[in-house]
Amino acid sequence: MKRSEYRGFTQVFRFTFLQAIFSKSLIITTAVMMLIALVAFPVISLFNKEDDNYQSPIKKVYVINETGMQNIPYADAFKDKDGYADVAFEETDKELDVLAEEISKEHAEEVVLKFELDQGSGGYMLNFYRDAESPIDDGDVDKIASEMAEWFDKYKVTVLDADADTLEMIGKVVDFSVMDSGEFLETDTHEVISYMDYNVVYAFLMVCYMVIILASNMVAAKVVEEKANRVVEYLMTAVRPMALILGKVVAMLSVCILEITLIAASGIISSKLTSALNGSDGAGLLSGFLSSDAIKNISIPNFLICIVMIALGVLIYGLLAGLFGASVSKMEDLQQGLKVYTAIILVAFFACITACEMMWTVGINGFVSVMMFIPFTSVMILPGAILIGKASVAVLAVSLVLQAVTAAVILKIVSLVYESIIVMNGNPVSVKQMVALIRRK
Amino acid sequence: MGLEVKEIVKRYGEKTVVDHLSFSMDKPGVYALLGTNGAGKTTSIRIMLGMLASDGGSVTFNGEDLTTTKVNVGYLAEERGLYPKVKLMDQMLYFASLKKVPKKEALKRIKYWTERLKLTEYFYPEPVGKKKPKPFKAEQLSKGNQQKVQLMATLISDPELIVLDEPLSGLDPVNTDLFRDIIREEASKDKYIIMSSHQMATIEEFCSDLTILNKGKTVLSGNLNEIKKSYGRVNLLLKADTDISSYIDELSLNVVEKTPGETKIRLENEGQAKVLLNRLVADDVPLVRFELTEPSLHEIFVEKVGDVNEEV
Repeated sequence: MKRSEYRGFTQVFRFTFLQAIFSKSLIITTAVMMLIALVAFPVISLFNKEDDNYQSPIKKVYVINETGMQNIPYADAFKDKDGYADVAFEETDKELDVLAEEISKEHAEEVVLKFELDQGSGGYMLNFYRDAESPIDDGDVDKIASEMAEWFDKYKVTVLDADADTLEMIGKVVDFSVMDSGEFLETDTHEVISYMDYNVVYAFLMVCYMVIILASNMVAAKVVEEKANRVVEYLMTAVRPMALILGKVVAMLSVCILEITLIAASGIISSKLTSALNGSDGAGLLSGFLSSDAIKNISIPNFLICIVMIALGVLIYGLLAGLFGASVSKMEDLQQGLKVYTAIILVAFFACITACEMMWTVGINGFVSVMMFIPFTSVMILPGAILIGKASVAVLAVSLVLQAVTAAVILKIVSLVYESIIVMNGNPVSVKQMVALIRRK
Repeated sequence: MGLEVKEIVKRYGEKTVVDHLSFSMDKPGVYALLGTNGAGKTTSIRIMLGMLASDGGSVTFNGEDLTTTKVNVGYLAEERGLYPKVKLMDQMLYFASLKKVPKKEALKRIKYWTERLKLTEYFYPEPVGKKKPKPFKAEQLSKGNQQKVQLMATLISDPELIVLDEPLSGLDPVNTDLFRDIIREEASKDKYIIMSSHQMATIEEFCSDLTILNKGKTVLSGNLNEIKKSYGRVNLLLKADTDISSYIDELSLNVVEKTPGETKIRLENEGQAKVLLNRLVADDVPLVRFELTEPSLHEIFVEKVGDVNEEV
């Protein structure tokens, strides 16, 4: 594609960006979201205080210790915590499936803890299993798991008689997962994520989906608006069609990134202020809501990777939305024109929801892995997976490359079709007609 | 060298909407592109300006392919467009920036054009009392004023090639005169102007050369004066103090229009007028008016387009 094809990009970008950020609706939405982010941490802090009266319903924890460490004083995890005073620990040699079956039969207030070394990270893994019919819910197991992970993180460094290898190993992550014993008996041994991690992935999925929908719908609406108002005819005497669509997509993407950054900054300020007032650290505040891994993974490099991923995703979906938006001439036909685009994004969204559920219930299996690679879904599922530490560098690299390649291919397709359909008026241009145009070119 | 349109073709499926259109403008001036609705004028203009890919032919300006990246073009589309919810000043600055007009220069030009087009109150609203004036948006303007803003957008870059598609449609007489003056001014600045209009009087006023399209095909092309001359003076306007219908009937002349005071006849040749005049003079008929004229563009247009449609 020639450089002259993008003549006018800067002007289109600047105009669209400025019009968008000074629009009343965006200012109000961003202000409301920032306000929510600002009050979020004080509210979390209040909830955490109420948790001081929490009484765990768990009476017994069967521990299958496969770490090789001897005489671990599990009860020390709850020395100063009244809510766990009744919890007893019992190390056992029984197999997990036998124990899972036993607790499933009695529906007692008991859980199983399989304490092992994580082959992937080289750190420790606390895998909890509960009976779905027992009075214990996921939240109760999450709480005890989180407390134990936090305690063990400190305890392991007090093991002074470790050799060099052990010291390196104990420096690594401590993580936990929670699973129904019934599900465990029915499933393969894929690595599952904790309930807290599931929430993180789910929340990020929703945020990414909303960002994509918001940005691409705005692109489509702008394209149709210019077509319906006939401004496009004037613009085309100065701007190339590719610059016109790309300027809009990048402008809307920038608006979304700016919005996310402002909301995130509000959250960080709120967290710092609340922590300073409470005399605690930010991680302490978040521990009731995020797993220890997620807290550790909140970093600027990860934030930037997520932004790049979302940016490529918005580019892919934005270009498609712009293309299908250009297929109609009237605002009232927009929904009809966006039928195929809507179908694509909905299928991707529900596939991601399914993958998210699978990560929690049956583990990261083949389906989840595929979703992490498909560019239409990876944008929604990977940011959360990055945060909970379930996306390796290799997966990230391949996904980013695939996203970039897909964006380039879509850009090429759009460049073949957009120019021909942008000045067409009358009935919406069908996908069949678009394919015919691509073939002809 | 000027503008040269050579054999441009555009097809949509089986239908040819522009069929080997060719014309040229060797020197600056106003060229008319005429045709009925759906004749292919707008499509031809879009192809000329590079908005639409053609299926054949070429368009050059001063010997080079006409692209809006190389040639400063001003286009007033038939279906006018502005951003309804964007402030007038913002969109005009945007349009100017797209044409690479520096902001300072753009502001100067906007000032000039707002005064010229009597739009100052919308671009530079006066404060009401102590309140800061609220900038106007396009949707707050009347249709005529929106059209003026669009003309301003067309001319803001001081283009060398101007394309005006139905520039006077929908304007009141005062604004029609204003637009006419501006078009005349631009033409006097040695610019290449292509104008499409259904108002034949306007075309006759401004254009020296023209092409008439019908269903994508060129039915007439050339210099307007020469075209008219080729028809000869075949319109006869007659006014007499007595009834002269018997003379007209005797020569079997074709009366096109008859009002109580005047009769308009379409002749086959100037010779018929001579014969009629001789008879009237011989009989001492008191004549008030006996005027021979060339056919108007309106008549030529109707004749040409009508001919083709009848053949079809």
